Amino acid sequence: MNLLKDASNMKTYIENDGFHALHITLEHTQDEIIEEVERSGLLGRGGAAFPTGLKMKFVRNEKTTPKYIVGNADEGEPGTFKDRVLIEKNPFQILEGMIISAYAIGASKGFFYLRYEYRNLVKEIERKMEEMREENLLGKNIMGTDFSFDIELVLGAGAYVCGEETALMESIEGKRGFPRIKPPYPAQYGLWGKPTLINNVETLANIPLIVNMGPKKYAEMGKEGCTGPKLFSVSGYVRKPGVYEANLGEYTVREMIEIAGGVDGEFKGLMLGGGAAGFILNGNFLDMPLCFKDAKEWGVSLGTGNIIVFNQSVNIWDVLLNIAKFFEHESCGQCFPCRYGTKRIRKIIEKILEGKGTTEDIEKINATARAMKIASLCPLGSSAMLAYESAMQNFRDELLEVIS
Amino acid sequence: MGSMESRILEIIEKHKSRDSKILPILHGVQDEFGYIPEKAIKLIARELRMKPGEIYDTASFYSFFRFEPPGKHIVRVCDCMVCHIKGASEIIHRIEKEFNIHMGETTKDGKFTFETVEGLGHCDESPVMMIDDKIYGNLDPMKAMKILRGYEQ
Amino acid sequence: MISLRINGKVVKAKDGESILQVARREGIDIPALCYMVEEKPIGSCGLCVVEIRQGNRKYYARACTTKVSEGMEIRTHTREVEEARKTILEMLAEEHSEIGGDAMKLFSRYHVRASGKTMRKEPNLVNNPFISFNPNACVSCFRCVQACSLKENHVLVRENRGSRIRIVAGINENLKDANCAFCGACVDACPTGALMDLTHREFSGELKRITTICPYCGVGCAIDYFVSDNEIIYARGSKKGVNKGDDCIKGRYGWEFVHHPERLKKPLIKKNGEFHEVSWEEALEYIASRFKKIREIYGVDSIAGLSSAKCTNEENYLFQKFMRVAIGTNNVDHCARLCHASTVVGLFKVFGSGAMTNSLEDLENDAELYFVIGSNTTHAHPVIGTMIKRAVKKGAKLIVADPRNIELASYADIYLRHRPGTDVALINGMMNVIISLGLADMEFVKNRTEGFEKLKHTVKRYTPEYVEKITGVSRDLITRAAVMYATHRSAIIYAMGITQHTSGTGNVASLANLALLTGNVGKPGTGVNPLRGQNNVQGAGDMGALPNLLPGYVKLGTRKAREIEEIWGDKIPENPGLTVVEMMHAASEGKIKAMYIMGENPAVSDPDQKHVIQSLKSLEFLVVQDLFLSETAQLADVVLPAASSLEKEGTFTNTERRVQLLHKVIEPVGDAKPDWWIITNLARRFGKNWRYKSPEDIFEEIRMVVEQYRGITYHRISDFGIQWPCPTEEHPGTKILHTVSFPTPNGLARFTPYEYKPPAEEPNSEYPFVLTTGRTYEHFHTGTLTRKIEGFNVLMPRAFVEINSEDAKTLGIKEGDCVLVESRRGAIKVRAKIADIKKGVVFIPFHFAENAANVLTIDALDPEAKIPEFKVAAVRLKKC
Ligand SMILES: Cc1cc2nc3c(=O)[nH]c(=O)nc-3n(C[C@H](O)[C@H](O)[C@H](O)COP(=O)(O)O)c2cc1C
Ligand code: SF4
Ligand code: SF4
Ligand code: SF4
Ligand code: FES
Ligand code: FES
Repeated sequence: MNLLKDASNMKTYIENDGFHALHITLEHTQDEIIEEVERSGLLGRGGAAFPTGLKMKFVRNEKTTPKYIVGNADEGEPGTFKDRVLIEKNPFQILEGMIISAYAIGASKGFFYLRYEYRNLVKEIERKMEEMREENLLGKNIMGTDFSFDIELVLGAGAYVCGEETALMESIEGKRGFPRIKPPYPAQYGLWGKPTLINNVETLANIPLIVNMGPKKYAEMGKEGCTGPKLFSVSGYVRKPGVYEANLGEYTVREMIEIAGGVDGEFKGLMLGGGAAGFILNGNFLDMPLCFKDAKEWGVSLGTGNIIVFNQSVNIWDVLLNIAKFFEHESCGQCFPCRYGTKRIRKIIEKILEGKGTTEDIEKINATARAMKIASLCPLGSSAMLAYESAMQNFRDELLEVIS
Repeated sequence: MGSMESRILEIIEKHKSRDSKILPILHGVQDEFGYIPEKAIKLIARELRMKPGEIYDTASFYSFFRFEPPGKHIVRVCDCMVCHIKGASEIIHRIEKEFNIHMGETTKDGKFTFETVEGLGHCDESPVMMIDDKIYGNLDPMKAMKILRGYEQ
Repeated sequence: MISLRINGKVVKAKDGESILQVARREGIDIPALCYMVEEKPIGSCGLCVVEIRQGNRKYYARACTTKVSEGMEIRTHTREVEEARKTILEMLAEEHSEIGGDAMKLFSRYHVRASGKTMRKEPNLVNNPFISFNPNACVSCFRCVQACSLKENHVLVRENRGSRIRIVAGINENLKDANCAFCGACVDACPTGALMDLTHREFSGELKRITTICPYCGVGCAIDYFVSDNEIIYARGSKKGVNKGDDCIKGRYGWEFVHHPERLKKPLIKKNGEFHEVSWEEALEYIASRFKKIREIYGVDSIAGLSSAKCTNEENYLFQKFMRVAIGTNNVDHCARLCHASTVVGLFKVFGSGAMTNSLEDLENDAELYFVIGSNTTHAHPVIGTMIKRAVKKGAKLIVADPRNIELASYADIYLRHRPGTDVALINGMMNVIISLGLADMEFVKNRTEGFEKLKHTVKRYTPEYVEKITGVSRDLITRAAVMYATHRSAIIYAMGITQHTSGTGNVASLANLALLTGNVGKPGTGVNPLRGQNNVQGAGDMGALPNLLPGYVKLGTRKAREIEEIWGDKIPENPGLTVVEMMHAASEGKIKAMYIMGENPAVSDPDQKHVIQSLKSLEFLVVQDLFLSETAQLADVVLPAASSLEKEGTFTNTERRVQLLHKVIEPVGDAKPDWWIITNLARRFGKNWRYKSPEDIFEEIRMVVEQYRGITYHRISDFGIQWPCPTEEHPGTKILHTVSFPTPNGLARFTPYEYKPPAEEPNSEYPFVLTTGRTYEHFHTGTLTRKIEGFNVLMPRAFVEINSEDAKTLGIKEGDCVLVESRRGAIKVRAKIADIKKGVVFIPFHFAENAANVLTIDALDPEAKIPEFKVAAVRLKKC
């Protein structure tokens, strides 16, 4: 296990090579570290799979100071719980990755943004950071060098959209979590308008691995286009739901479901990538390798790497209603297409579930989906209809059966 | 009232120097009083040299900040995707029936405030509920009721 | 320059422009509902979405937020985007039952009609007299929120999120409780008619827009009045004025008095204690004969006149001319005596000129620091208050000195809460610190000033420790304020908190000393800047409505005075006349027998009210010229109905010396006449053959007499005013005074140090509290205008006394309790308002005749400027 090691106390972490990467880092230049990350091929684990090294380089190249780094532990996507398990089991690796990244981009301050629902982890994380300060791994002059860096933990307060990077920054700044209009991107205009690197905490936990093994060896885990280890949250109707670590590209969807104990009941379909902004797929996708690149070729995305398995008891319209309610509740309300669209979709699906759906309603859903896709201000609105659209492709007959 | 004010001021003082100020202060106030009183919003605004409306604009955005005192225990039942397909609705139904209440309300005796929430991040144990800070997983209606009755004592 | 294509056409654009800007310039109409401020697009509506191709990438983006870049191919009306726009509008239509305003056009363009059925709950904000809110029309576009925050008011905010998002005021309060300034910016911003002016009157036919100067404070905002059939329908701040589109509650909603039924419409003569309507002819004949008789019996100096800072320059000019040459006395003064006499005297002594040194424009753009002392700017001069708040948000520093925790104090870097009446000590203390830390601008002191040694000697004693004892401000704060002031490009802004003291002249001179000491004079963003209360305080003084100075501040009996005599063709008496307060004393002593009062209300505005009323009553003959039967007019023998400033032409000179032209908005109501007409016709009855046919005729004479105004003509200021001095018609006017030299004999400014003298009345065990008086945001002066406006009375119905919470506790007083406030001169009953005010200090506004604060105030005078000490009196409080 590279990520899910049980190393929640400092002693075990250090015994497992902990903070060795930080040590190495401080003996290298900033650009050398960024280059290693770039060469490793690491893609962000927060959903968008953006090349991490490139993002670091953007921030590094900005002239403005101070610079900031943010660890994104907002994990709001339904069916995703891998960040929580990672924080519980291997928190130091995340923090170490954050310090290394901070060094690489020249940040002196970092924020660890934790979703409210995980508030019982706050004390633990703060204690860990305190221990690190005592060991001079965090704070002034880390390990006796002239690199100083500290981390502030910020607890969210219940808003899925705050996982979106710019909304998250607004939230840290003490405002409502309205996503910002991009561009400018956080690399130029992040926290308090300063260059900011933001990464998912799982992404950050990969950084020490890269520094320790070197990018080449790291890249050997997985395959071209999707390197390194990845956490998968497997839930729904499987016998052993949980978080499983595997190298990218190592398994197919089917194999991953088997690892999680196999289907509980008779397989019907699954949701991939996220429990809201994800894809509703049928059995045809069981042989798709779990790799960012393959997923793209299959016309879907791995998202945060979660798999929710449906058995025959699951009604797809009911799932779609649940998702619609989720988006209506979680839309930030800033822009019309998403604010009004999410509500309209929910109302129509309710009508359909009452057995009163017509083809006109389907037309209306489609028109709404198109407007939301092109005119929403942030990805929440523009991806809110992915689930519906994929369900329409993969469960078309079942869905249209109830429409008159 | 005087002591409430001084307590709020202490909380503000404690977090004022943090870069993220406002969220930690609001959490501090809610941890102390169970909700965010109007008085607190005014004091926070005064101390941070902002207008009360600006603080409320922020606070009212987040679903976990509340502006009315809650019951003794806050019960959050997850009705998000995974919990939903694994039977959250039946649990919710049962609670609404047994306590004669709707989600979002507080029981008359002030013991419980019930809410549905969007994902507790424990989908490996779905269906899940959180009572105060504690997670209870792998529920069914009966199990949920038993746990709740335990809190009534 | 960037080159791109819009709908196939190649267009050029500047770097940094948005697609929407460029498209609009090209005449392409992209629907945009939420777009308001170019630099800060809100981006909520999504209607402006366009298709963009760049290289081989095709995507959709908002035209209002997306900057153009080289090679973009933009299509603004593809089927996809048009369909999306229509869908968005349809969704709005489903949710809302009413959509009005500009948005309506957009809806009809896409053939969509509001059809929502759910009635939305009103937020609490609606409960107020000026602004209505229709939740069914509000689409939460946030334009109002942006407008309110650009005004730095932050009253309207968003509540909740997602589809439940809505607009509320403050913590979901009503607008007043949320400290709404009723500036109306939100109403102007709203595209759907959800927010509307409640004062908007019904009208039929055509609406005309006429821009004139606001009838209230000295900022002199230009206001656009929308008029139909000789009735004002609504008003809003004009983009053409110094206010650049801003306004305040008074400018926007304060015009209703014009149409008030109680407006005087006919001349009145009192017979047997009752007023009877008479013709102008009869009234004027009667006045002339009575004045002549009294003059015959008691001599010229038994008559006195009060001119008005609410009347135009032309009228003030005529009034003093009338008193001087028709009656033959210098007994003429006006209410500026009560607000800024010490400014004129104090600044004159130091700089050689008694006016605001800088202009609003350079204060806004160039000041690095504002030192606001004795001015509740956001209430009394709201547009300047907003300017300061904006500047501070942009990084300017702010020092506030005030015993009350005024709104600006919460924006301040340093807040000095000194005891009322200890300003000289405070300022001397700051100078002491500046000198001892070597922060004085010695270069400036050497080249531009004289008397530095004298100053140094005086302030030596005022160490921070010593000043702490007098003012109650900690030595550390005094030092920090001094250092901050001295090390920035700093502007002093002050108002009546400085001037209305027995030490008023000393206060003003000390501020001027402070500015000289640090070289903060004669440069953009610096200076000593008194904010004038009434809209024409500056002008009334400029016009010589003063007992010792002629127009243009010419001293009596000088060569220049004789030049004026020549122009007038009349002799001017040489012995100085009486000031306002002296007139009242003289009246009660029987030395003044008759008075002519134009547009003033001394029965409420002057100190020691009981005494004033008694004085006015003891007159043999009193003429009052006003819009309403004011408390003073009720005591008169003849009352003349005057036209308001919205009903006439003329000029006002604002606080920054800008001479601005009035445009007639409506015809005078009833038989009311402009004051200049009244004075001219009265003068004829004294054998003066005045031939002014219009205010412009009078102004042409003013130009000959008053040097500072020589280059200004009606033509030049028909759109935007000019700041005096303006010596020739080619001269652009003077934005900043004293840039190269001072108007003193040797061109040098004169340090004029003052010692701290305690106020005339200090608290003791019998009268333990210090009373200070002032204004509220809603009302103006004695309320003759504002209290005729329903909405203002709803917001601020009655007087109150602000009291510190600890003091209240000791006295067992709770919010809203009735409190008896007593001074050595009288007592009033008012409601208690627990407020953040310095312990031992209480505050009462002076607008309310029925609980007149001036029953309590003392008429102790500043020995030089003769201004009364409104800001300090000793009182005691009792629950009643
Ligand atoms: C609506 C929305 C919610 C998101 N929530 C999360 C989240 O909970 N955690 C996360 O790491 N990224 C989330 N993201 C993605 C972030 O915006 C951002 O891409 C990510 O933190 C970047 O980190 P990475 O490069 O390491 O993946 C969300 C994005 C959107 C649009
Ligand atoms: S798309 Fe939705 S979540 Fe994103 S800004 Fe618009 S309303 Fe907010
Ligand atoms: S009137 Fe002015 S202060 Fe009041 S809510 Fe509207 S914009 Fe804000
Ligand atoms: S009141 Fe008007 S301006 Fe304000 S959000 Fe509603 S529609 Fe927009
Ligand atoms: S869906 Fe309920 S805990 Fe994840
Ligand atoms: S005008 Fe561009 S989003 Fe509204």
